[in-house]
Amino acid sequence: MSPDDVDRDPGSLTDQRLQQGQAMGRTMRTVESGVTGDIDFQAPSVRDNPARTAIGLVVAVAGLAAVVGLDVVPTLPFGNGVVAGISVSAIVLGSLALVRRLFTDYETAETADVEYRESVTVPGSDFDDALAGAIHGLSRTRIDARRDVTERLQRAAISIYAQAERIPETEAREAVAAGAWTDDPVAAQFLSAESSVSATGDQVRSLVGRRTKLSTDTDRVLVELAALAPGLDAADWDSPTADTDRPSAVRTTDRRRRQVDRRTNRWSGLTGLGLLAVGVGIWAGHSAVPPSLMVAAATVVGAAGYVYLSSPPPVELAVERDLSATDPAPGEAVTVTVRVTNESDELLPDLRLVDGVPPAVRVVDGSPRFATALRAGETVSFSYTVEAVRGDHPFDPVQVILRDFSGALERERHVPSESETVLSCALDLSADEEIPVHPQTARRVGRVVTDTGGSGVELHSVREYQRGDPLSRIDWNRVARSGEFATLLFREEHAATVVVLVDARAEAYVAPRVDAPSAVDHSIAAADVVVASLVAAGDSVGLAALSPERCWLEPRGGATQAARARSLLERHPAFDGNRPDGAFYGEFAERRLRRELPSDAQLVLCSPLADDDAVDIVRQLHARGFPVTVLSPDATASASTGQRLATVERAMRISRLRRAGVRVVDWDTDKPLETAIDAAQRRWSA
Amino acid sequence: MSVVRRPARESVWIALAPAVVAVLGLAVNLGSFVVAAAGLAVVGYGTDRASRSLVTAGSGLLFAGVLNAGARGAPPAVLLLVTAATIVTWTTAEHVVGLAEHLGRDAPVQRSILVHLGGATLTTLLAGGIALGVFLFSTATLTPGVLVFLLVGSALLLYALEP
Repeated sequence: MSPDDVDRDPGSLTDQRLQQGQAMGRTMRTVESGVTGDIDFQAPSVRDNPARTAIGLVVAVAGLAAVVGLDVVPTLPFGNGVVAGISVSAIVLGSLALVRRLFTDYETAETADVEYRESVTVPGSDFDDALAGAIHGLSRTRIDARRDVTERLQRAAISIYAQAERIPETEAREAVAAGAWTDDPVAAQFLSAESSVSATGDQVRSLVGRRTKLSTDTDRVLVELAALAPGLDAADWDSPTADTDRPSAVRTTDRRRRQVDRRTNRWSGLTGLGLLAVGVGIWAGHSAVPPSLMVAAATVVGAAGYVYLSSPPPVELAVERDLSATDPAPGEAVTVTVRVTNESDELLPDLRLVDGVPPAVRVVDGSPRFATALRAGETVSFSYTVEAVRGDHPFDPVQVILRDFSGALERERHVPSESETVLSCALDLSADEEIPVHPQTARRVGRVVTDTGGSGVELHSVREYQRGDPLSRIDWNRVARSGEFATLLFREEHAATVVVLVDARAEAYVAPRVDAPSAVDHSIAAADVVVASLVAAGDSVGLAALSPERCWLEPRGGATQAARARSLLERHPAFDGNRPDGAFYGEFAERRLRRELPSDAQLVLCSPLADDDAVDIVRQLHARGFPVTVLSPDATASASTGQRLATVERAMRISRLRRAGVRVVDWDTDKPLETAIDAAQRRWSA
Repeated sequence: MSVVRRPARESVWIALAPAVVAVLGLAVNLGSFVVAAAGLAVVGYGTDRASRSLVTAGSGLLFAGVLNAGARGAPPAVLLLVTAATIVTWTTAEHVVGLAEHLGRDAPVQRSILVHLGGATLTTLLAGGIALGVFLFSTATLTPGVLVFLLVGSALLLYALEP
């Protein structure tokens, strides 16, 4: 082992891993942008149908020649029957072509919802989806969806009731089935064994725009469940939103960078129109009507020629991207300006652009999308505003959709900007918060007042004098009074060893709205404050993440530790603002954490408590002698039924943790962290 | 900031402009006028709702009006105008819907729509204009035989050029 290894900066290992990760990311990007997908592409050409084209031309030219006076058309015996036959077959063929259009798929590119942050869900949205499926779904699946919703609500009610009444689950199940768990007859009936809500009645209600019985009943159940949960009041809940323009869940298409050329099939069926005009024209012309429909048919032929004559546009584009601020603070608005130049010699008649906004960044103003026509050598620019978030966020290539004049041919490409654009944003937080920790300490002097008597400030106890006690701590008043020697003991003040744990699992990427910062963002901000203030108070502090990406910073004291922790929070892949893809095994993570933790360590966990696994991990650690304080940013909403259920479930989780002796700070993220900590401290000292 | 995949109002108005021309042109025949006006309404609603099938159905009504007017002896010049206007309406409305699907309501798309509208108008008017010119300056009388030749020739060409 080299001397370097012994005295290695604990941050450097992580830095190395980080650099490796970034290099890998760059390689992957290069590989991806080089991928050319399924390019099966042929511009329409006369050579597709040479025989038809030739015969058509000959016949049409002969007709035209006859029109201008040349006698080339043989005087064929065009009887009424023949003309009618041609006319009818043209009409039938035309109609067939139009019908065929109904079965032709329109092919085009799909664009992702780059405006949203990809990584955030609203707690309870899965229940809302199930509920919507039970009301608006297909008739075959509706019955199943309805049963599914009821069963999920039953399970939730059983576990909440059991916990609130401190009774075993079997008893709670009987109470729910019998309807004895609540005074509200509607709610009791809904979850009882003989519940029956008419699906047909609900369909009628939803058709006439009224709320369905299923949703009003589930709301009644949730009000009763909220009454069981400590610290919740259903009267505070938001009214249901009717704003359809703001989806609570993101509809995101995948970000695979397909490079495809395709025919859109947009004009298929055009022949049908022409044939119809021809058929009707022959029919009408036969009774000596001026052949206006010939002109109509010629116009349609012109449109077809328009489609045929256009050629696929060249893809020679240069993209530049500018950011209005180089080092923005989190939450600051940054204007992104994209400049696109047509470097080919041809006009691009239809150019559509969707900028590659980084997944963790959301657009707050303007649109990252643009459509225009672009002359050769011309440059256009468009701009939009994003909200800066902590970390490094490289922009993805611009998705480009190019079409010819008629829109029949389409090319989809992804063009990277000439120099890579990265939105970098450092944490900007100052911390002089006093963070309350459990009285489990190391044997070093610090600021946590312990129950051990010794030297200190606050009086602990008085005991008989023993040889060796310092003179300054002898109770001289007592000596003067009674002649007995006694020693004053003060509460010793020790330093604590604290590991700050940030919940960055996929489950923690929740927010009250899809366009709000996620709970992980709040957790990271809180972790930064906690680390800095504990370090300032003389404690030794470490940092770890609950995430598939391993992150571990050994507990230490000193000014550099806060900086090290902050650099991890800003740069480590576990905290980069993207929902992790990998699987996370709570039990393994918890066991590994226990091995790494110093025996006298305690934990501060920042977690939204959005699922039961978080609670299990905390209870395990707490039970094994690592006292835990949970700092929980509240990411629940209360506008819909599912969101309310998630709110009730989170309240029950907090109550379960508190019963296990875990301190929980329930942080309403609209208010500063200090307020939540003060409130929690009052509660603990009461 | 959300993406609403429906066109902006102004885009819908641009797409409807040629349809208004078609409806006014079809005033030569009352039946055609009524059908085309209904088509205009359907195209407008379909464009606003970003529905391709409604756009196609509405344009189909417009074209039905064109066929009716042609069969009932509307002048060739009028028919050239309304056919071109119908095709331009359809392709522009489809273009607007496609832009809405790709880019949503808030993206600046006006220039793209106007270029598409201009290109389609020029091409259809040019092709129809040539045909009209041939008829206006022709000296020979049109026998049913000649007509059949012309129409069957166009039908074959259309079939060959099926995009």
